Amino acid sequence: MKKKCDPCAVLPALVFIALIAGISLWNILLPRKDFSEMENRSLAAFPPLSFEQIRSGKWMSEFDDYASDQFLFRDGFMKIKTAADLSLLRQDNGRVYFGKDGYLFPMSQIDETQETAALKLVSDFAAKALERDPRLRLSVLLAPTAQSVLSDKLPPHAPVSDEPAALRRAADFLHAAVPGLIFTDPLAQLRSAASAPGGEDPAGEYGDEPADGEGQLYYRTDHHWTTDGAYLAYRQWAQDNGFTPASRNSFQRETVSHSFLGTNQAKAPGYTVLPDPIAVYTPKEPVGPCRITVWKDAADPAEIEIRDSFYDPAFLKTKDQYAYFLGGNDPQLRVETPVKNGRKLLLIKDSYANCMVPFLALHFEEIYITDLRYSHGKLLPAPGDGTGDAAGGVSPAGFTDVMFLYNIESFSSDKNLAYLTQLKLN
Amino acid sequence: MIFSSLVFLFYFLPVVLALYALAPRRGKNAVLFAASLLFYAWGEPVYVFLMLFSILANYLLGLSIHRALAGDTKTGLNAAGCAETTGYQGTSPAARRRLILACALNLALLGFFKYAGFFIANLNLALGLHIADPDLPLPLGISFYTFQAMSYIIDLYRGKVAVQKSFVAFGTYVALFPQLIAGPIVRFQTIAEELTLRSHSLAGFSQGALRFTAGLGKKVLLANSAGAVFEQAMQSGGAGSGISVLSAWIGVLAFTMQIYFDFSGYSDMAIGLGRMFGFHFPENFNYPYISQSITEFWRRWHITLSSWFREYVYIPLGGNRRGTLLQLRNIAAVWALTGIWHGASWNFLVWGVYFGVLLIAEKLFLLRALQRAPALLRHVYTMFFVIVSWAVFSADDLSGAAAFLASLSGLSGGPLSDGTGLYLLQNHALFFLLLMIGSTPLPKRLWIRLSGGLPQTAAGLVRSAGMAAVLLLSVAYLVSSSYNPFLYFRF
Repeated sequence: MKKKCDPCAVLPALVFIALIAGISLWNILLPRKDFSEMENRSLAAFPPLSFEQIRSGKWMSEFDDYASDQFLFRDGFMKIKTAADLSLLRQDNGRVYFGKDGYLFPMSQIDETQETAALKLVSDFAAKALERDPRLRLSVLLAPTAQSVLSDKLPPHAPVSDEPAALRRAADFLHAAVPGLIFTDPLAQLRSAASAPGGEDPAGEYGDEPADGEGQLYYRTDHHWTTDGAYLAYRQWAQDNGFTPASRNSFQRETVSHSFLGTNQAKAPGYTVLPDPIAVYTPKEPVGPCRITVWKDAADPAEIEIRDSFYDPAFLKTKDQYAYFLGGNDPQLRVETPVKNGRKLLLIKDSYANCMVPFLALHFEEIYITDLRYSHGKLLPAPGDGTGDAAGGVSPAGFTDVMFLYNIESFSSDKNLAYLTQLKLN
Repeated sequence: MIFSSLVFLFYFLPVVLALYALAPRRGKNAVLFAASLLFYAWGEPVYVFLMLFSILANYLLGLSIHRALAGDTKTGLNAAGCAETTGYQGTSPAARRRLILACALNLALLGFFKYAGFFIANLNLALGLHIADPDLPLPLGISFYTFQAMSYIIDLYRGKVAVQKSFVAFGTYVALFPQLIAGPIVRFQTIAEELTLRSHSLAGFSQGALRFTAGLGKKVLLANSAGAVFEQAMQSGGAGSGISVLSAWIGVLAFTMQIYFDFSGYSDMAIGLGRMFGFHFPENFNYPYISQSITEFWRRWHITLSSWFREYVYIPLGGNRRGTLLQLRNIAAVWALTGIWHGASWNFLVWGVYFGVLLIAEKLFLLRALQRAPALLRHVYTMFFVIVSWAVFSADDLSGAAAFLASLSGLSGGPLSDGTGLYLLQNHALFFLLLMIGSTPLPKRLWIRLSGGLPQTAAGLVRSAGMAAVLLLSVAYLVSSSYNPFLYFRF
């Protein structure tokens, strides 16, 4: 046994106690945070105490989340973890792959059981809708994600889900189950745009001088496609559905941000990436104003907001810049356009649609947009003026078109598609 | 609660250490006992009462055995002299009856909560019955604390230990949170003295802190990352087609590393925590992956479990003293039990019997043959059979084990290699190299050589800095990673 006064023998004890006690005290005194800008998500709060929650052990596991979410220097510690992964020459950190040219790719898996369930839900819904109104036009657009379009930018051999196969399965299933449904798979279109000589601008459609990020189909730091990517898919969808797509040259392309760091980057804190630019396409010849009604809360249909733009520049100053498009995800939106063709679309979508809606608006008089994750399949009525037949509000009705727009990863994992059984077309 | 969690490190541990330091000498066990109950209840808010029942029952039966023995021999045992006593004192039929009752009760609790579902399922299968499965979740650590309590009862009957008359001290022994849920299995005689009289020093605390942090790093930095590789490799096969041979081998190697660093890391943390509170727990792992035979491997792997079975099953059955045939039977019995101890499933039984067969073969002829082989060959032989055993061990059931073995041998119809396998290989090559070096005594020898030339103070500084670095890096991993599995929920 060493002597007690030997500093060599007692130093580790003092350091250990100082670290454990210091960090825990600091943690207690630290002000609580509700939201992590860096990760773009809400942080767990102190769980309310109850006997039942403790007996079931739920309180303890919520406290574990709370302790982790409210940990001091949380952001700094996450950066250290990323640095450690990189110094071991790893090409992923368990959440994203570190790809070439600054691209990050989420590590996701397609659950084939869930995918089959999703396809069944969509086809059941479509069959029922067609039975009620045989003239209804149904279309489905499933987008591939960056990993299958920009696969050359993935680390070599990186195992990713087989999106091309999933898209083929979806096309085959829906064509067989719902005759007349139009399925658009923009994978080939996007791939050829990405791989053609001249970078991501095959036909020189984007002009001779590539502007900032022009022709970039997916964000490097975010899991969404860019407006350029969405435009290509829109063009194919319009052709498939008998519309004349607005040509690339009819738009003015503008870069509204150069500092977008999205969800992929949030999964690799501390990984140095180039921020993405965000672009919008504005029609060169103004088509007239749109009126957009936004339902903010499915439980309270009276809480609405009226806007006159598809874009909300306020979000360009926050972490979640993609919410610039449509102001993020809300339960329901109604877009009234200056178009007069008698067509009225119900769009069932995930966030990939948010930057495509401005293109779709060129072809419909009215678009109702529902996000099943928040609307839970309820079509919310517009608040009435308290008089006449519409005293209780007018429910959306009289659709001529229904469109599904998802990316294939979220489509085949989104359990909220089950709410389609609640969705009633009037 | 598990050690490798922020709640343990920065909420539970500092409070317990502070209360323990502030408590008067006579109150220290009470602090530890209460802390242990809270620690257990964090993960098992209902089964904590089962553990309390087990503690109370064993405590009372211990007192009663003691009375029966004392009435018989009138030799009051004292705390210090008990270890010297040899031979069985339990000639009293009353004491013997109580011993049998205590063992039956312990095994019944273990049998009911751990094996009832397994037993009923197989009974239904064999006889075509439809008995309903009670479907009980396994109480965490029941195999560990039951074995500890039994070591007390049996050694008390044998006169090897003195009775523990304090309920709090006995409860502290059974429920002591450092080794409660993942070992080491501490026999009562090992810490009987320290339960009532132990000394605390900052130097001892230093050793404990260094050991604990080393274990934390092994668990959080190495085992969890290896576990993530294992999961990725096992999930690589699409539906229907098996995983590739390459992925299967990467998977089984990753599990080999995961289970060692996880389990030995847990033991290090337990031993370190014990040391902080003044206890000296037995060593549980001694670089098992440098072994040159399976016999040697089992002298180096989960040492406290092997010694428990040797002490309370193998030797009472006659050990090696009644001829070769009976010795082989005893080995077979011990290894079947060892297997099934790890979980109520056929693959664990097969895993135990597999080692039983290898050990018998080594005993009969293999060890003699091996002695003539070069060291490298002996090592390759040992690791091959150890690694293959982990394929059986890591599976959920027997058919999973068979599928894993088929993938390893290329009989599953899966391809030789695939993208996932190649990706994991290039992505984790450096990490695997570190793991392999880390499982040998090389890092420790290197440290001893390097620090040999340093003055004492400088060595202390380097140690402390290293400890702080490992602790903070572990925290970084805990904060950012959601993957932190607990492997012993089936034990």
